[in-house]
Amino acid sequence: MLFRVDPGSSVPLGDQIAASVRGAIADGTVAAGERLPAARELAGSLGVNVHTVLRGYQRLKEEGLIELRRGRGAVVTGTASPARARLGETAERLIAEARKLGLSDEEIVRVVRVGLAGR
Amino acid sequence: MKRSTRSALPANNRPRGWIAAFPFVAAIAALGGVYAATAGRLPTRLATHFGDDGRADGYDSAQGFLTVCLVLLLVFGSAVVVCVQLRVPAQGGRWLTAAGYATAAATGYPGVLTLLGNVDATDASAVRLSLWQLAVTFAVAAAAGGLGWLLAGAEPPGDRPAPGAAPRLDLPAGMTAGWSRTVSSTPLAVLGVLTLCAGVAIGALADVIAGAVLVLGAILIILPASVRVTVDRRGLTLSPTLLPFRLHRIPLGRLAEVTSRRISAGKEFGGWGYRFRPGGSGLVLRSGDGIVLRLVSGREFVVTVDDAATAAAVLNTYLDRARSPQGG
Repeated sequence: MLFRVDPGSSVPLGDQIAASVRGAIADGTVAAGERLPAARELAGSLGVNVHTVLRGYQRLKEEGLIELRRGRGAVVTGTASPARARLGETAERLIAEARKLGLSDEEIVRVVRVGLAGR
Repeated sequence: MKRSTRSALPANNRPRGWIAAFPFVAAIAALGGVYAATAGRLPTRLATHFGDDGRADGYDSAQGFLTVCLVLLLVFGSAVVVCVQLRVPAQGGRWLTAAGYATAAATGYPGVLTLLGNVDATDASAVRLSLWQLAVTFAVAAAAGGLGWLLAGAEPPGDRPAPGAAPRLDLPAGMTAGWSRTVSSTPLAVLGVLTLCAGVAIGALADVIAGAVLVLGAILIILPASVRVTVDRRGLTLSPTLLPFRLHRIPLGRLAEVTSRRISAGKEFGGWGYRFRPGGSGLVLRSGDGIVLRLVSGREFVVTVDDAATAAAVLNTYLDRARSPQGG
């Protein structure tokens, strides 16, 4: 799996790492059950702080794409599918668009809630 | 050096299959010819095995003896010819042919000696074949092997697969990329675990030292059975999937160019695991997609792993950066 980070970008490095994994799951390069590199290894590879990598992994865990287990490291969950990962990417785009319009977090959540209420 | 002599030679168009088959055919013909010439003078019971003192201690009928010789020559002969024709292993045709010549001589020569020794014998137990004939057999086999080596000629060029493309990654300056993937071999892991169990059982029940040797062997099989391949700004790193240490690291500075192509474990490396062959080595856990690192020293190191093209692209991109005047 390919990780790309741009230290010059305004996007936090941890989020960039999460985006790499999400992208790899979305395009099918990484399948369920696959183990991600240990945080320390990946930090060394990319020249970033271990905590930065862990922040990215934590984010993926909250999205339900990976499981973090002590001693076993980060494993792509069985429920993580390319479609699920693309959904996360879509959410990222929604947030970016909304921020560009100057919406607050509350207002972004309200946009989603209004959409859901319409169903 | 090796490369230049190989390309300077004209293509080796010798009929290698026929050359490989020749000694076995010759040995069968020699045995048949000697038997035809001496059949009337052979006893019904032949002395076919001899002890250290040259006395006969094993007997067989002429038909039985010839059948055993014929089967041996046919089995060895067809195995050698098939391997030479199929080029398995790819660069081993010359050695195989030489080994075939030596085997045919080491079977045919003692066979003929045995027949000749039995000629005009009234009592098979009185037939003698002295031990020094064993040394002569070795010499004949070695000479035949040498002849086979010369007849087979140099390995035909072009049976090394063509190198794949050397891809690049679209990586703007300032961006960092890293690539990581695991590759495992279930057969190797199973073999390792079985060896480990055997080692523990033997160590506990029979011999501690033999057990320890087996356990050590098991560790050497298990460690490379599942490996994480990491490719980044530092080079290529191999480490066991479950343990946090390095098996092997090739820094960027030792790399000349990186490509990816399909690798055949059997044909190119003759098996699985950490493999060595003339001009290269590698971790070959399966056939298929693999990274091919051409080192500054001219040697090759290969790692079979999925998505090898991306890994090659990352390394080539960092090589380009290191070579560009601005530096990485």
